[in-house]
Amino acid sequence: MKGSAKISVWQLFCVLLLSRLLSTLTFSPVGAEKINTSDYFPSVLFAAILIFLFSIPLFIQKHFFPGKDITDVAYTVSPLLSKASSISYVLCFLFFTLVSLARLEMFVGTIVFPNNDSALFIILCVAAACYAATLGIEAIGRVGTISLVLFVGAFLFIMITMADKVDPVNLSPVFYEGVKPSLTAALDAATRTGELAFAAVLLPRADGKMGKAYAAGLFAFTVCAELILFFVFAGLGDFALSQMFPVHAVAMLAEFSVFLRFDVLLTGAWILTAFIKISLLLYMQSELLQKSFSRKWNKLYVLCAGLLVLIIQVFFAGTVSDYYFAAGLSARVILYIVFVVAVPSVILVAALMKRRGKRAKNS
Amino acid sequence: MWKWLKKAEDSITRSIPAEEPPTRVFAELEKNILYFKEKLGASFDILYKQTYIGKNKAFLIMDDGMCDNLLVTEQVVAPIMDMREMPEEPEKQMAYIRDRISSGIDQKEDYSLDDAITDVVSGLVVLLIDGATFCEAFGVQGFPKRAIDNAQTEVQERGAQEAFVESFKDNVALIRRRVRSPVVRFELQEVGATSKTRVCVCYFADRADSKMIDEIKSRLKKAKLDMVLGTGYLRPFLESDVTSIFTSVGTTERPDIACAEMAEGRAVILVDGTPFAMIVPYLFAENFQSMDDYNHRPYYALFIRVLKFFSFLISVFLPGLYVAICTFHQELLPASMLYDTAVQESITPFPVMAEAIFIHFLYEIVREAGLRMPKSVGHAVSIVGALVIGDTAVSAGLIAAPMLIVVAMTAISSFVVSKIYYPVSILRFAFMIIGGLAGFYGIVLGFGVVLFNMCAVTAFGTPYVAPFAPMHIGALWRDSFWRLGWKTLGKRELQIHSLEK
Amino acid sequence: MQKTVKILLTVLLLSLLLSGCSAPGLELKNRLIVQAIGIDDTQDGVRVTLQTLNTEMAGNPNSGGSLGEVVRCLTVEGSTVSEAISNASKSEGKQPLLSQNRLIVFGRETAEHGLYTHLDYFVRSAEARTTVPIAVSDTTAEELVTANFGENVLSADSITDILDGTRYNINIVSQELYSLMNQLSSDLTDAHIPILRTQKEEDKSSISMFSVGIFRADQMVYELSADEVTALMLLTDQAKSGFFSVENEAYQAQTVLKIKKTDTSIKSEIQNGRILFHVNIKMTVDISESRAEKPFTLDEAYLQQTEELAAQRMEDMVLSAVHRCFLEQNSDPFGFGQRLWQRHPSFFKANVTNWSDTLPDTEVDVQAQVTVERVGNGVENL
Repeated sequence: MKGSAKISVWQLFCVLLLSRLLSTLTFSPVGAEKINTSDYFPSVLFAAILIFLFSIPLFIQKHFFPGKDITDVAYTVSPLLSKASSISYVLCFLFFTLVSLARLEMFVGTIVFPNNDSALFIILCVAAACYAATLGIEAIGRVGTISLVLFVGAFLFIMITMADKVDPVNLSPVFYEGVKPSLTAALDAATRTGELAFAAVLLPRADGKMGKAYAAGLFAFTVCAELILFFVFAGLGDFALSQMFPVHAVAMLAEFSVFLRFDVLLTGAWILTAFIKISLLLYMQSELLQKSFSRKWNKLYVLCAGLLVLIIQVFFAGTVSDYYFAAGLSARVILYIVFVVAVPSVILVAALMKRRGKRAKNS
Repeated sequence: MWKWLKKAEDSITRSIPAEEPPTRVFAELEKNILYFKEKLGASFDILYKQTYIGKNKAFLIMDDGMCDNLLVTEQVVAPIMDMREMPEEPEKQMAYIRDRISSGIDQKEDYSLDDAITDVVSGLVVLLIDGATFCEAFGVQGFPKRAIDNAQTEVQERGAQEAFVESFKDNVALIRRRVRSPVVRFELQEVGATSKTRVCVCYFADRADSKMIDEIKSRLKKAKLDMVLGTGYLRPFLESDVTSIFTSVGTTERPDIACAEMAEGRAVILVDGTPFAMIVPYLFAENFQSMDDYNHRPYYALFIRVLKFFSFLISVFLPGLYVAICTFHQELLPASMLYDTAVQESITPFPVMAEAIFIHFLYEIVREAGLRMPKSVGHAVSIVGALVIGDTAVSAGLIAAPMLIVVAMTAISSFVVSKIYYPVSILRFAFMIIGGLAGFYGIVLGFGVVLFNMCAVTAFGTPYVAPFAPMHIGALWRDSFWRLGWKTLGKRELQIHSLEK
Repeated sequence: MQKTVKILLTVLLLSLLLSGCSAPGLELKNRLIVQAIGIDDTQDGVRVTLQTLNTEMAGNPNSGGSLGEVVRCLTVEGSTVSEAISNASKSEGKQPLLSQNRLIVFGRETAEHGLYTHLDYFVRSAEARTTVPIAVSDTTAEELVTANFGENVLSADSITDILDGTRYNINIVSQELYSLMNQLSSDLTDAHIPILRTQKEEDKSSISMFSVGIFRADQMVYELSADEVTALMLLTDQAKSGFFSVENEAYQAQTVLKIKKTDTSIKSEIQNGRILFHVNIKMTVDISESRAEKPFTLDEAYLQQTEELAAQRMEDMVLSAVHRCFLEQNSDPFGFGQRLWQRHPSFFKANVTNWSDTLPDTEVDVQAQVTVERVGNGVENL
C-alpha cells in the first residue's frame, strides 16, 4: 500500500458517487418510512440540499486545513483527540461496512441465490475486498471511475429497454399528504450512508480543486436518483413498494427481443459497486489505524478489519441489519449527525480556536 | 517451510558468480596469451595467429565462426602484413595500425583482457602487441544470421512486411531506416554474467522522459542473471511492482510499431539474439490496437477495435458465464435456447463445469500440439482435433453441442487479440471454476478483482489502464476505441507521460 | 510470514469452495422447466397444474434419438401454491424452474373466490417474472393448461401468442402480473384479466379469447362484452391496431376499418362540485373492406360519412361501457379515478371517501374523431 499515493478529486467523487448510488440502488421499503410514490421525487431534491448543508464542515476542513484529514486536524488540538477520533471513525466505518455487507447478503440470499447458504458468498466478497483494499487508493480510484461508467451504462440500457412500460398514470399526486412525508424521506435518504465522513478522511489523498467535482457529484447523484426512482415508480407503481428491492423489480421489466430479463445487469452493477464500497471502507479503516498505531502492519489491519466484519456478519447476521433498520429513522439520523456533522464540527472548531489562540500569542 | 524449500532449491543451483574486477592488459604478450588460453580453453574455433610487427611479436586472435574471413583478410591481416614503415614502440605501432593501416571503421581499444575476450567471442579480431598495455579490436563480424522476414505473430494487412531479426544491429538499422532523425538514440548495455547479452535501449531524445530512461537502464543493470536468451528473462525486472496477470511490458516483432511507440515517448528495448523488442510503458488499451488501424480509415479502425474488445470479453467470460447460467441462473437463458440446451445437457454424464474445463483443456492440448508439431504432420493434428473434439465427442454424448459452440467461439475470439492470449487462457479457466462454484456473483467478483489488479499497476509512472482510468477525455477522444483522422492526429504527438495521474 | 498467511488463506478458501460447503448449483438436467401454471381451488387447498418441457431424451438426439412429447402436464395438490409446486418434485425428482414460466391461469371459480392468497407466491418468489401474463379460464385452469394443441406444439406458446395479439386486435386484452398487482391493490381502479375459453375438436383443442373479467378487490365480479372490451382498450390507450365495422344505411354498405393509430386523452374537471370527465379519442383508420349491394365509388362524401359513423360508433361504445360499469356495477376498470386523484388531489381528499360510491354521480363526455387515411388499392367497392 502506498502511503503517499494520490488520486484526483474527480476520481474521489466518482467513488463517493458510486457509494451513494449504491444506497439508491439498494433502496428497500423495509425499514423506510412509507410514503406515496411521487413524494420520493421532491425528497431527492430535499436530500441534496441536506447533503449540501451537512457538507459545510467538509468545506471548512478543506479551506482552513488543506492537505489534512479530520484526524490530522484533531492532532493539531491534541494527539489524544486525534487517536480518539481515528478510533471512532474506524468504528463508524466498520459499522458502515457491516451495513453494506448485510444489505449485499440480503440481496444475494433473496434474489441471486435463494436456494443456497449466503455465508460462502459473503466470505468471497470480504476476501476479495481485503485484497482490493491492500492495493491502495489509486487502484480504488481508478476502479471507481471505470465502474461508474459501467454502472451508468447498465442503467441506461435497462431504462431504454423498459421505457415502453413506463406510464405516468402509475404515479401518485405529489404532496398528497403534505410536505412532511417528502421531508422525512429526504432525511432518510441523506443520512443513509456516510460519504461525507469518507471524504473527510480521504481529502488529503485527492489532488485538485474540490468545488467543481463536488458540485458535479451532487448534481449527478440528484439526477441519477431521480431517474432511477421515476422509472421504478412510473413503471411499477405502488407494486414497487411491496417488493424487497424495487429497483431490481423494475429491472426485471426490461426486455429486448428474446432476452426477457435484464436484471442481471443490475445484479452485476450491484455486486461490483458493493465490492468497491466495502474495499474502500476497509482501506480507510486501515489508513486510520496506521495513523494511530504502527504504519508497518497495513495489510494486517485490512485483514483484521475484514475478519471482524466477516465474523460479525456470519455469526450475528440478523443483528446488524436489524439494528440499523429496526432502530428507526431517529437512531439512524443521530448516528449520522454525530459522525458526519457533530464530531468533525467539534474538532474543526477546537482546531480553529487553538490556531487563533496561537496566532494571538505570537502577535 | 519457505526455508526448507529454499534449501532444496539451493542444493541444485549455484549462485551467479560475482563480477570479478577486470584484468588489465599485460605488457608481456605471453602473459596475455596465457590469460586468453586459460579463459577460452581449448575451443577449436578460437584462432591464434602469431606475427611480427617490426621487431615486436604480435598475436591476432579471432573466433572462426563469428568473423567474416574475407573481411579479416582484407581489412586486418593483409594490411598489417603489408606494412613497410611503422613506428618501433608497440603502442605507437598500435595507434599507427588503427589510424593508417586498418581499412575498417569499426574499431575499438580494449584496456581490459576481459573486454578483449568478449570482443573475440563477439566476432571481432583482437590484435595484441608485445609491450602494449592495450589491444585493438577490429569489427569484422560475419556470423550466420537470419534474413529479414515477415512478422510471424503480428500479421498486418496493410503494414510493412518486415520484422525484427535476432541480430540487434540489423534491428537498429530497421529502426534507423524508418526514423532518419538524430533524435533517435540507441544506448547499449550488457546483461547476463555469462551470456553478456547486448541490450539496446532505444528512445526519442526529444520526447522520452529522461528519468524513465535512467530507471530502465538502472533496472537492467540490477538484473542479476546468468544467461539472457530472450526478452522474457528481462521482463520481470521492467514490470510494475504489483504482481499482475497482464504484463505492463509489451513486445513487438515489428519495427514500424517500435517506431510508433517511441514517437509517443516510450522506450523500446532490443535484446541481441531475439527478434522481439520490448516496449515500456505498455498500456492495456494497446492490446486492441494494431498498425492496420492507422492505415485504415477511422470508422473501420473503430469497428475493428470494438470487435477486438468484445472478442476479448467473449474469450474470457463466455465459458464461465455459460457454466454459471447452466448451473445457477437458468432464468437468464432465452426461452428459445433453453429447451435445446436442456435437452443437450441432459444426455451428458458430466456436470457442466467439468465438461467445460475438460473440453477447453483438450482444446489447449490440440493448440499446443499444433504449435510444436512439425509442419509436415500439422494437418493430422487439425483433423484429429476437429474430429475428436467436434464430431465424436458430441456423438458419443460426452459433451453437449452448445458447449462445443462455446469452445469454438472462445477459441476464435482469443486469436483476435493474440497479444494477450496467455493471460486470457488462464483467466478463462479461472472464471470457469468461479462460475461453476459461485455463479454470476463469483464472476462479477472475479471481474472486480482482476479490474483492481489491473488498476493497481503503474508502468513507469503511467497507469496501466490509462486513458480509461484516470480518465483522460483528450486521450480517449484522440486515440482509444475511436481514433482521429491523420489530418488531426498528425498535427500533435501524444506524450505518454501526460497520462500520469 | 506474509507469504505463509497468504498461502494458508488461499488453501482455506479453496478447500471451502471445492468441498461440499460450496454452493450446490442445480443444473438444467435437475430442473423441471415450467411453461405454464394453472391454479384451481379445492376443498382443502389448491390444485396446481404445471405444463413442463420434456427434456428427457430417448437416446442421443445427435445420433438419431427421439424426444417424444415436447410437453408434459403435471397436476399436484397442496394446501398452498408453494406447497403444491414443491410436491411436484416428489413425482418428478426435479426442482421446478419457474423463471421460464410463460403463463399463469386461474380457474373461473378461483377467480371468483379471490386471488390474493394465490398471487402472493408469485410476488414473493425471486424466480418468477413480474411480466408473466395472467389469464382466467372459462372453466378450470387445469383444462386450459392441459389443452392439447397437437403433436409437439407447446400450448403455453400458443396461448401467450393469443394474448400477444393485443398489439393488433382491439378485442384482445393482456394483463401482466405487476400491472395486475397494482390494480388489485388500488382502491380506485378495478383490475381486469382476460378470460380464455377452450374448445375441443376431436383430439385437439383450441383456445380463444372469450371475455374480460373485472375484479373488485381480488374477486371477479362481472365480465365485459366484446364492445366493452374495445371500450376498455380505447380508454386505457391500448387500442393500437385492429378492425371494426360500421354500417352505412345511406349507401347500404358495411365498411370495415383498420385502426392505424389511436390517441385517447382523459381530462378530469370539477364543475360546481360535480366530477366531469372529458374523453377525447383521435383515431386514424384505413378502409380495409367495403361491402355493398351495389358498387359505388369511394368518394369524399362517402368517406366523410364513414368517419362520422365510425366516430359515433366509438362514442356509443365507450359511453355504453362506462354507463354499464359506473352505474350498474359501481366499478371503474378504466382508471378514471386514478386520473382524478392525480389531477385534483385536494378535491379528491376532501370529497371522495369511496370512489366506487361516487361513480354514479360522475359525468363522462366522449368526443371521438376518426380520420380515414387510406382506402387501399380499390377505388370502388366490389
